[in-house]
Amino acid sequence: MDINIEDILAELDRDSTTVVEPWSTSQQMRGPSDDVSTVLNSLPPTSTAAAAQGKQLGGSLLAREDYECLVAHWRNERCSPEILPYPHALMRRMLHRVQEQMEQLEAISMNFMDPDAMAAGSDVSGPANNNSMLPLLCMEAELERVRFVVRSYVRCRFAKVDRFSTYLEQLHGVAPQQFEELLSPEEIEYHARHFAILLDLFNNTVLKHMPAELQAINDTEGSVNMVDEPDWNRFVFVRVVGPRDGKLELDPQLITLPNGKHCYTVTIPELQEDVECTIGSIYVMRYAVIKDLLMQNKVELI
Amino acid sequence: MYGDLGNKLIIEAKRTQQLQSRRNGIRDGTANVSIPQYNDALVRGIIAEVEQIRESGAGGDAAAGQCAHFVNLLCLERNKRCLLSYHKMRSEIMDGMAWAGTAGDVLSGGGGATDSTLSDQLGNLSHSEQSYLQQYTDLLTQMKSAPAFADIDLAGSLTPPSDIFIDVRVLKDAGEIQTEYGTFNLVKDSQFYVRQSDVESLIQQGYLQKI
Repeated sequence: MDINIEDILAELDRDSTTVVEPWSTSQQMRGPSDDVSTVLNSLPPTSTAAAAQGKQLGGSLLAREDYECLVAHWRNERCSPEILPYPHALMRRMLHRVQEQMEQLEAISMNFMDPDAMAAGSDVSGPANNNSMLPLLCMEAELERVRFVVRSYVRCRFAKVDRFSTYLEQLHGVAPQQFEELLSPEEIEYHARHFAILLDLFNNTVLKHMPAELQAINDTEGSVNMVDEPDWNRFVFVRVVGPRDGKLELDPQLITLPNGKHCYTVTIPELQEDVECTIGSIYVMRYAVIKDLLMQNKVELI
Repeated sequence: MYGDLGNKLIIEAKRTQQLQSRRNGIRDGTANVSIPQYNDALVRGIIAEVEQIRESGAGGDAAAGQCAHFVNLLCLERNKRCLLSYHKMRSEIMDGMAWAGTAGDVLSGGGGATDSTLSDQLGNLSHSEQSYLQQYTDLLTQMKSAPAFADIDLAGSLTPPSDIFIDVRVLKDAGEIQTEYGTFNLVKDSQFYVRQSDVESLIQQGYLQKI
């Protein structure tokens, strides 16, 4: 006589949250680092500009989700052999938040210095002081970490742009649309200028002494291909995470195995072999095999 | 044989690369990137060889003539490959210097810093390499000040921040230098307990030690 009432309970839960929702989302929207700022009570509410911008872009608004997304992008970028498409909207939001948070930090620390001569008069580091330094320090450390992730991500991409410059140049010629989606505007400029000065260097030192038919820097006809393509067949570690929203039944590619587990099937072309990637497990796989699933965010590199 | 000089050049390039990676292994890379002397003599030798092959340009449509032409072409191609990889390797080292921030000191002939090794390095570059380094440094400064990355500090440290406050010891150079977050009086062998983000650039430049 077991009646499963979980769906009814879930419905009830959802009802009660709708009442609280405006408050809870606005609270969440401030992100993990902003939560501490509420302690200080000296903050203007987080600007609605960022939120509005995020809404236009159709992405998620929560700072925490954005950060997780960025970390996922960062990890994939560091592990994959090729340059992955640049997350334009996400990065714009992230950079905006960093800027905003820096301004807020500055404002708060000004408040610390300014109004209370009491703090200056007594022991500066005295913990007896009502407004403690702890939230400020936390915010600073938080900001420093976010900036590190962004910096590392951007630098990693720059390094790849350098490495595949001839390949990118070729891509630019063949498919300019794709080229522009792949790179951010800054990266495009960096690529163009670096390629130009590098070409200058080579022209001055080497190529001008060569006969005309050997002066190309991107010769693919010779005995050695001069365009360095990403190594599509490199082995990478992947973790299968499944669809982001967690709705397993909505994913058409997903197959249920007899033992109740869900998996994707991929084919390794040179072996003509099908592999079942069950959700939650880790595989070592050739990049080309896994690339489509990676683009759909159904696996992540580790 | 024609390719021998190129081979020598590549062996030298290989050695440079190994030196680089070993040195980076010892001391985390950032502070000291150095570049060896540009091997002008060898490069000139190879270019002379290229000229020679071009002049010898065997013609004729007989099988022997075509064969000679083809072999010559392959020799040229090989020389080109050796030269290009040598220069590419050097340009990558220079990129590393530019990112580490030492390029400015190198280009000014070690003017700002009293480091004599830096002024030596300028002599190690050929003329076109000097202009390349200059241009690349300019490009990087422009990238760092691009509006999108204004708050990120692209040249900053690539080791993740773990502590907010650290102990540092002053290694060299007395005087007040720090500007952005207030001034420190850097007396030699004094110690500070400061916020890490403030002194990161000073550590990179080698004024401070010990995290």
